[in-house]
Amino acid sequence: MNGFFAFVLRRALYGALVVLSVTAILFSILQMMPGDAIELLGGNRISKNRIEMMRVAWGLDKPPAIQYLYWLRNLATGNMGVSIMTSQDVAKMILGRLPYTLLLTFLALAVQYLAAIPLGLIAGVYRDSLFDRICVQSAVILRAIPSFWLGILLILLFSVKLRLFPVSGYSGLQSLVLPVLSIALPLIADTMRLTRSEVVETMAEKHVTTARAKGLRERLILLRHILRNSMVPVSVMFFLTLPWLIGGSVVVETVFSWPGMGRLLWRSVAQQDYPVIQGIIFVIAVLTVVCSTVGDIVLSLLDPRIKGAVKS
Amino acid sequence: MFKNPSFATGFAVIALVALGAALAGHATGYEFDAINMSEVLKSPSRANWLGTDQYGRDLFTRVLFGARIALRVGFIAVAIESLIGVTLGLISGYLGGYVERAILFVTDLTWAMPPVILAMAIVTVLGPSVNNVAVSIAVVSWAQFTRVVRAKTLSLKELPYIEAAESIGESGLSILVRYILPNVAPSIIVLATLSLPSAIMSTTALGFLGLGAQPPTPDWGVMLSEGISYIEDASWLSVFPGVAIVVLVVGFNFLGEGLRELIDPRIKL
Amino acid sequence: MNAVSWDSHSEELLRVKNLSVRYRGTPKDIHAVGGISFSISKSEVFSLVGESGCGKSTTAHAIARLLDEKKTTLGGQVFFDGCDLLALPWSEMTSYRGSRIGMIFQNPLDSLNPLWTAGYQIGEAIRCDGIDSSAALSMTEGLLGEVMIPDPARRTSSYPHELSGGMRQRVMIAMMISRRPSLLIADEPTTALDVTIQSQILDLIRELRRTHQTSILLITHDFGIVADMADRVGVMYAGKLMEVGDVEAIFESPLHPYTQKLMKALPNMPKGERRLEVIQGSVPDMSAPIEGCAFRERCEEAFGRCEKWEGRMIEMGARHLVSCALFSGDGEP
Repeated sequence: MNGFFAFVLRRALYGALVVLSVTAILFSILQMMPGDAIELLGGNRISKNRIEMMRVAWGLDKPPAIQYLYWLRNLATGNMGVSIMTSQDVAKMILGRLPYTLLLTFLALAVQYLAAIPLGLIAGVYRDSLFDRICVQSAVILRAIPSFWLGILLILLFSVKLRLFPVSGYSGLQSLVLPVLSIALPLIADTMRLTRSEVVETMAEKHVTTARAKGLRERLILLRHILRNSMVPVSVMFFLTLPWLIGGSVVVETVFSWPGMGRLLWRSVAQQDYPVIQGIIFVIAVLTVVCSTVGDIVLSLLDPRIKGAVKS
Repeated sequence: MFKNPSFATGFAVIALVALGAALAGHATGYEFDAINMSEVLKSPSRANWLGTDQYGRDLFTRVLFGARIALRVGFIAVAIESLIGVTLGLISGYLGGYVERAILFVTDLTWAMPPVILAMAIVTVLGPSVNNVAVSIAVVSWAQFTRVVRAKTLSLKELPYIEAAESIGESGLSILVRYILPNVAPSIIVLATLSLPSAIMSTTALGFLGLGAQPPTPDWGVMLSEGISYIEDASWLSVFPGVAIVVLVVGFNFLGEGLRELIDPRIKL
Repeated sequence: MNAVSWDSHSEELLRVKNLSVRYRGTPKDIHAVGGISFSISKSEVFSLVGESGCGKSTTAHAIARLLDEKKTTLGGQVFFDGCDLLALPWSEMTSYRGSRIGMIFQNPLDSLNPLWTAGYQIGEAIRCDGIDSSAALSMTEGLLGEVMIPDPARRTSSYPHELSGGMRQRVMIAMMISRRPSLLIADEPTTALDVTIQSQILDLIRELRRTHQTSILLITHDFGIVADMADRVGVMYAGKLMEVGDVEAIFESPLHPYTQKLMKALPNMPKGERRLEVIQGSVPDMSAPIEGCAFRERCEEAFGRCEKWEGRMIEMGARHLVSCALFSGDGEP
């Protein structure tokens, strides 16, 4: 157990290092943006002198590394700065949007896995059956559909033609249906393919023959041996693709004018409101690295061989 | 090669799209930016197979020109990412030690952000344009090349004839280029083909967000984002550019799957 | 040679009649087993021996119906305690497997699920009989003691990768004897193990047979093991049985030219490595049913009659059967 604890601690420290490095690099890159928000705000109406004063006030005259350290020091007190465009507190802006993004992401995730795992399991067990072939072929198409276009198609069908769901914005639970489907459907294809190929691979393994030879019923073999073993790589993918989902939601949030973090990022990028951009990038980097770290730890719990490797 | 059904299907689809892209403009009799305000938002007809957009431009022509952009960005992005990825993969696998650790750390950094968001940040700095989109996609996705090439290099390094070449004093660079690279090349081709569809999808996503190609460039993502305003009256603007994306991506997926089956079935993306 | 003498009056437990197995494949099927017959009595050790690819392992899997029946065609009959297993619905086989027929496999690492503990996997077999988990746990510890694993209480919570090769095979044996089957099929049980571990595992199997009167079908390609363990032997070649007899008869007066070739090669090999040596020529193409004697292409004594040899077994003395045209008694070459 001690070894396991050390493993978790090491992964967490490494994750923190990755977050700090990647945000430091991105922040430095963002400093190189052609023209900054102050020019955008002021245009030609303000004198050069005034612009320079504002730069100093915003801390924009300092080298990027120093600006990053200032930013980190402020972050420690929960201060992410204020938006150049709206003068609102960035931390508050993000916290206001984050629940919407997380709601969308987790619902999509639930739909994705609840649909993909049973489909993949059935397709794998009945390999080469009609059902399997339909699943495999539709997966080929489904994973080639960009989620934003799927969103547009769903709007066209259900909102414009059938008038079943609201076109955009957030107005209660029913406005979740279309965005969730847009994100989840293309991902179902990938997860189903993975589950299916893992099931097919596991079914050919010798320990399944052993389970059968000792007299276990087929249903138990399927659950305890085939599904259990197939779930190890599927769980790894779960944690690895979670951040992709957050990324994908930026585009889908834009399609549906969803009041989430992704849309805020998109707007801030267009307006070059970089205190907001920095804040969102930091939050997303933390979410991503936490996911992959938790993924590593879960993997070591699911597969005893990995825990053993860590101990020694 | 053409006996492999995935490869044959993919090849046929890509060949068709490439032909359309090459003939765009000549085949349809329109230019992609030919504004005709008397033919605005016409539904698909004999004259305009896929209808016209809000400036009366022929949608079919624009979709065909869009294929040029998608293919161009895809190839540039994959060329850059494989160049970066393969070089770092060879170096890290061959040299090991601190160099390897440093390179692996950098690959971990690229995985610390969702690709679309990272590409958004980069393209913001570089400025929105088709080529900058290609660069930003490459910067985001070279790491998978490094992972595969490094693993291959590690196992090749142990082979007797490479150890022999080392013992007679051949330089590391020469061993990498003359012995290891040719052995890794088939896997690189498979990986590159499999990366094309995701590069194309990222391009259209950035275009849709307004961070890629700018109007009037007939980028499929840009066309979809413009079309969404007319979704009530001119639904074809929201449908056909997306169909084009799916066709091209499915084509490359088949081609990549076929190559994987033919060349290196163990490779995973 | 064998430790326990064979009781000629003992009851028959397993009778395999004209068993054939065809793997359906593209582009060609493989006729892995081409109609073989033999029987095993209660508490007898019967060994099927032959080169790799001769169909002995397929036979073992076919008896317990462990082949993927979507991809194989089985023919003939397998009577176990008088009941034809091949005629049973697939779902009823679960009441035979494990409880009446146990099976141990060649590679104990692949054959255990890496994600469950040894104790769990043994307990899973015991709980098939409706025994509650605490009783199953104490039975598991008892079984691990029986297969001579030191510190059984601790080992129940070990994962397969934490055990040595020999220990894994002991776990496998414990799992397969847990429900006291009357027939144990051992498919190359020691091939993947070190020589010293091999003899320990064989000792264990012999001991189990002595204490529980278990019948054993032993699949091997090692004549040393046959000599050590078996009461009777069946020699297989290209999916056919060439010769069946008591172990002494096969070793001292082999009749079939194939068996003779194998025996001649034996004394030259160092002890512990008395495996089959390579014979001139190659195994026939098994993508079609073999016409005539399967061995005739490589046989120095082959004659015209061999091309039409139908493969019946000729009785050449007490319990000694041979399938060879030389002994057909027609005298017509």
